[in-house]
Amino acid sequence: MEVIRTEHLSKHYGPLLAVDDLNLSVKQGEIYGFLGPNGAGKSTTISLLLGLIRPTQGRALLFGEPVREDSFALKRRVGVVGEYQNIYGEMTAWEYLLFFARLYRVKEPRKRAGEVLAAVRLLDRRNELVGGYSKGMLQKLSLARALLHAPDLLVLDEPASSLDPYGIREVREILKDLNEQGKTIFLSSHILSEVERTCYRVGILQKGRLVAQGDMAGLRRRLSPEMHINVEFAMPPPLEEAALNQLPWVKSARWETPVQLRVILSADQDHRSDLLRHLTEHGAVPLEFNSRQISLEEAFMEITESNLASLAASEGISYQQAGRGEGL
Amino acid sequence: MNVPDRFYVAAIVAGRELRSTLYGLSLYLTLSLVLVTISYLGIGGAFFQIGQSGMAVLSNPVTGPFFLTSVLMAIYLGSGAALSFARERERGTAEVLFYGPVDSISYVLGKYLHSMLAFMVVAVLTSLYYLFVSALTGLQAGMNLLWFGILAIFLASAVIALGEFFACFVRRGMMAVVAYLAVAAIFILFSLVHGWMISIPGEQLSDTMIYLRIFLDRLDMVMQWVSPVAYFNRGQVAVAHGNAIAFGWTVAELFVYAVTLLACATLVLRRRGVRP
Repeated sequence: MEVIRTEHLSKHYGPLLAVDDLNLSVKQGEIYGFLGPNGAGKSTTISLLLGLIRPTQGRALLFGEPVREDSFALKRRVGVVGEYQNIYGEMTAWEYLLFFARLYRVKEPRKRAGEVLAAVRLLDRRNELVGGYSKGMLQKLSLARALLHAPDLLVLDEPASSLDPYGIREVREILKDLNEQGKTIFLSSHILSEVERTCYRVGILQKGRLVAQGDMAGLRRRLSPEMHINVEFAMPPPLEEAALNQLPWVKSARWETPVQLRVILSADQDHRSDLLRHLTEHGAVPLEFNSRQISLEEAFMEITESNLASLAASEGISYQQAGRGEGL
Repeated sequence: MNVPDRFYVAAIVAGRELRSTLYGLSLYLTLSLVLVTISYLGIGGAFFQIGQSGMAVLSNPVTGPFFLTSVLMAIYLGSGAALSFARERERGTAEVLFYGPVDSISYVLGKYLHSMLAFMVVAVLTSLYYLFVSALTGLQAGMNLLWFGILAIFLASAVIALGEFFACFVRRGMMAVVAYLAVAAIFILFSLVHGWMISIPGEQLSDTMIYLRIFLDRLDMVMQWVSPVAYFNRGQVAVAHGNAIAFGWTVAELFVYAVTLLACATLVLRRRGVRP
């Protein structure tokens, strides 16, 4: 079942095209990472998904229903942590959560407020005024508010931007726990390492367009048609570099030292087992066998920069000017 | 989405704000300041006249100060509604509400309910104060107090709705208050200037003054519908003359005025969005 679906979703602000013909699909139980550089249109997309702004074209569906401002039943199934933590500073965390618990008609509001505060480790600070909270604490309180009504879908816009490493870890564990319960999570973040650790699928947005979408393995395959392997041996093995280079699935092989071999494998298939078998059959005893894959950060940079370059080429300007703002 | 759900949400939104207003000091400080000032000028003025002439010139000297206090507090709460409405958008707290089961109608209604409930509290305190003053001084309160009380509630309703309406067009709290007070001042000033102009006999007016008067008369035809001061004047005359039908009409007009402005505020908010 699709929890989020957008169909040709577009949003214009005057001449500015913030979201351009966006077709997104997030299935139930997924953790979907929504990435993009600043100004790519991520927050606008989230506002469109939540019915906070109206699309210029297309539509957004949550749980198969079009989102409207007054879709109360639908909105009660969604928990949201926004980009900015806009919280009533004159209330305590406890009062704040009880207010939202009443708004969402949460059963046993006090019990539930205690549970979510405990989950974000703010229970002992519940009677302090929110105005005195640090940015990280506000972010945790926002997460607690979003979890209060046990939503089926959690939409998070930069949920870890103000958190310390402990906080980031806590949020990651909370998200994984929720996902194990079958909840769907839509995560927009700049912290790519977190997205890489947490998400099953990612979509990369640039200038309002979805320039890439898929699971991590698929993105890596698409971006890096080769796999880099480093092998370390106990003693120099009787293997010739030239012989290795003649293997059909080896793109290049080179001895870095007498006991260190660097091999680039073709990524049409996973040839790591073929390489390992070949080495052992020739009497080599590998001590370490490391394969290095492209990271999400590298994938993100590769996709967004190549997209900028092609955009610049189509407009007849240099990539340096278009992508980096130099010389403008 | 059903109507009871919307009212429930509006009540929750209003409840949070009302709690903050009633536990705060600003409402009571403002009310105290207004009561002291109006009592000094109104009740003190009545005693001065009694001292001068040996008799009470007004039959109900408490009613005027009561109504004026109510009107000033309605304007204060109207500016408070404008401030709260615009500031919530400015700070983004309104957006967080709209993530959940809140829409433009329930939000506008919640804000309006809050200000009206706060006004009810003010009206009760003001009534108790002037009844106490009446008992203490022997100055008659009379039945007019009740009619002026009803008129004040409907007038406050219109004035608060006006505050919300103006707040929909701006995204800065202070801007909303300034715009609201500026419009309120224009309405009051127009009523005073027009009242003064029509009190001058025609033969004493210069050509320029005549043209100005004709212009103000034309403008007054519009003001009769858009300015709460015009409703205030009509209501006051109806109570003074004991004209129940005219009073009923004025109250009904004020109700329609408030509903129209709230509906417009809802439409504007829906169109402009709640994002800061």
